[in-house]
Amino acid sequence: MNKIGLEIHASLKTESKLFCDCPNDKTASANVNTCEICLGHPGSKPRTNEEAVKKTILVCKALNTDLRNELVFSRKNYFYPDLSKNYQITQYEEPLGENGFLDADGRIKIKRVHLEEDPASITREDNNILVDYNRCGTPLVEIVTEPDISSAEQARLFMKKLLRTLKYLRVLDKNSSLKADVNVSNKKNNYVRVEVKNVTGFKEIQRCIEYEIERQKKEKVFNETRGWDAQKGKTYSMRKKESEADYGYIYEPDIPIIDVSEYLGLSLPVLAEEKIKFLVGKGINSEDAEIIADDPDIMSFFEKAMTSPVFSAKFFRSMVLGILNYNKISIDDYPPGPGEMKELLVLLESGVINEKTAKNILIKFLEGGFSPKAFVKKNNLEMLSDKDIDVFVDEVLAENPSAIEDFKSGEEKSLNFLVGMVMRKSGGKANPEQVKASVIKKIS
Amino acid sequence: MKEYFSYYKEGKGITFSFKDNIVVKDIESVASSKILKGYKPVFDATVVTKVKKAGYDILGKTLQDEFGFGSFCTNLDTSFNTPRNPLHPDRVTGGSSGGAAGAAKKIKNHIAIAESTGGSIANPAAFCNVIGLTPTYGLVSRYGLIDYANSLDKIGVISSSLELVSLGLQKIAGYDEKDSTSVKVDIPDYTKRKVIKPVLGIPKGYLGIVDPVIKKDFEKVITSLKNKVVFKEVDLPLNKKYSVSTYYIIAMAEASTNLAKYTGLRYGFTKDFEKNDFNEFSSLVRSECFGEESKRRIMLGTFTRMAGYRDQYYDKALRVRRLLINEYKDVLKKVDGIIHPTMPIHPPKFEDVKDLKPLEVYNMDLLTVGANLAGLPHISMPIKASLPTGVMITTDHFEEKKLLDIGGLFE
Repeated sequence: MNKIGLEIHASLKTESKLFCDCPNDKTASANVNTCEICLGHPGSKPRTNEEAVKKTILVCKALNTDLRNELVFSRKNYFYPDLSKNYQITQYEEPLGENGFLDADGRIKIKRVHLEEDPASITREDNNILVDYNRCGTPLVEIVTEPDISSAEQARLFMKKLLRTLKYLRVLDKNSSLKADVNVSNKKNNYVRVEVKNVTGFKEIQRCIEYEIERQKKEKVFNETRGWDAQKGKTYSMRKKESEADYGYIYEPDIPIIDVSEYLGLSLPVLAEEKIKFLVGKGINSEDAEIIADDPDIMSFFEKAMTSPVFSAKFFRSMVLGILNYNKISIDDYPPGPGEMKELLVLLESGVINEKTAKNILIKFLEGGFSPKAFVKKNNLEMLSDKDIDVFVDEVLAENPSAIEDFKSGEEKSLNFLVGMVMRKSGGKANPEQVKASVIKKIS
Repeated sequence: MKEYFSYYKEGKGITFSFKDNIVVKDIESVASSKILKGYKPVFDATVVTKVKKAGYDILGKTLQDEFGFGSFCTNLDTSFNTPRNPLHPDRVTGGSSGGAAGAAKKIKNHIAIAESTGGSIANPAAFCNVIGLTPTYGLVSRYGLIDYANSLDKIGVISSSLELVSLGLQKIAGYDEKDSTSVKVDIPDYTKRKVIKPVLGIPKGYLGIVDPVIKKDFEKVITSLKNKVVFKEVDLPLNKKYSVSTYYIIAMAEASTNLAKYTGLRYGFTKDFEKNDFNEFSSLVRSECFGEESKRRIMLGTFTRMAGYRDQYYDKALRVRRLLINEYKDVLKKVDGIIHPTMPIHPPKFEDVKDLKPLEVYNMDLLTVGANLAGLPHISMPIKASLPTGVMITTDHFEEKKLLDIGGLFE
């Protein structure tokens, strides 16, 4: 029996940083988005970004927490070059949200949700530490679970749902990955707690938990802080914990208590669970529904492009998402609009084109949007009619009497040969299922 | 008069200066600390912007105790001279805004913008026989003020006349979105005086702790004003007992976090210690640059907020502060202002300051810390005496205009 708790840090997407007007853009060249405030120059003072506060409140609501109507910041004091002030403005005694939950194969209780500033990013090069302050002072939301997770798989499910929720809230900075401190303990070792600090990325968090569970089965477990070596896929001991680190918290005296009661009424957007229910209600199988509704942008595109639900879902999952994944692009970067996609779906579903043509059109869409209907007409890509197909079938049967004999004597391959010959004659514009049916009908 | 400045240039008309802990773009601002040596701010403090916009000449930056840690303006980096009392050169100016008070005394038509955390305006104003006004916490923007204790720091004015003090306040007061603790209030015309007959309360027992000469001089002033002011006794027992300890716990806890940013890594003092480890490097820089008093306050302040002690010190001090504020507010419902001598002693001689123990110095703040802790506006007015002496008047929050009118009775 394992007990796993997660402390997840997610970067919020905001126009500017948490306490100054610098753009919240971590992709810019090093130290461009900085000012006296995020660099901690003497005399500068923080000023709270309302957008970040609102987004944190949305996260609290989606995670079903109790909400405080006051925002109270504290100073967490420690010396490290990534902190320009050598303290971090965070929330300590009074987090914005407490006592929430998220269901992921069982209820995972959320202990607290709070807002804080991210430190700068650090790169180690030889003996030097290089600091990029673009990230310094950008808003982070910290989500702490109770140790209610019992397996790596459940942790994966939890994180997947959490990530999906954050995406639906549209609060997540897509240019940063989730970070987590992971607590793992098991019954065999009397739940002696190991904390693995600073694991970056969804996959790595999962790998780290898997590794740590296995390690704790075999090794003697100490109360300690460990690190995660992603290259080796191993955790390693950083320091034994005789006592908790002492950050000497004080209330942040530069920011008065902020009344946030006016934001508590913010309403949540429709979240993934409801969208999945909607799709399943339309007859789509739950696996397809989960995949399509995983991303709110894909979901919203799908809803606009959908023809008959089951057919559309199958096409989206196998074809459209395949193209996006293969080309590593998001639906936003994919040129066609939902209207153009709908046109394509109609052509395919009504049998005007076959899957191969549809796929070619999806690939051609990468270069830009266009009307599939006009394109099919112009390039003469419509499928052949039943009558046209029958003509080809008759021709092929006349030319290959021995194949007919073989089929009749139980040689299944001969049928494929005959269908292939008809397809070749039709220039690929026949529906192979239709051809097959026609051949069988004529020779049996 | 240059002896009161860390940076000085000539100016005309009514002139301004800023305490060194108020940053001025491109002019070295170090709050008298070696650790900021060479630091040229990249922006102007809001009060500096306001004064510049109003078109006044700025004479420069005035000397102070390191980061405001001191009562005599004798705690400065050795590269600065120690300012002498303009009336008695063998005595101190008081502190921490000693340079500002000295400049206000010596220079005609000069408005010295200073700063008080626990008494750093009233104290040197009293010692240099000038007027010092500390406004309500939040009336004047702290943006650009090098922090000592953020919940206590207030920018104010020292000058030689009420007219100049009120003009100075008029120029710097007002809401500033860059300082989250600044308050949105209507700013009246501070420069217009009104004759009033106020009720002033003298706190019970406060005269018992001051120098007998000061007590006598204070009582003389009270007697002479019997027709213009109604005096009555009030009681501030909690403040008398707990204000100094509460003040120092909060001030040091905040100061110890504020000073953490000074590590010699990104600005200010730097030296090639040939150390690769940033921890070791920062320790060397901090050991070399911080004065003894800064180190004391970092250590004490850190101690009061550590797990296991936090409840007994920092958290408790915050709760007591609330009680002390309420005590003041209750008294101020019954009187227009509270009055007592500003300092319990006369400006000491340099040689006497050396022998004082830190605790003795901290206790000298008893008369000034209460109003500072409560964020209440107060003014120190010089009175006739053989050695520089001031009376301090405190009014309710945002009653600066009334405070100045009361001050008028003492001018």
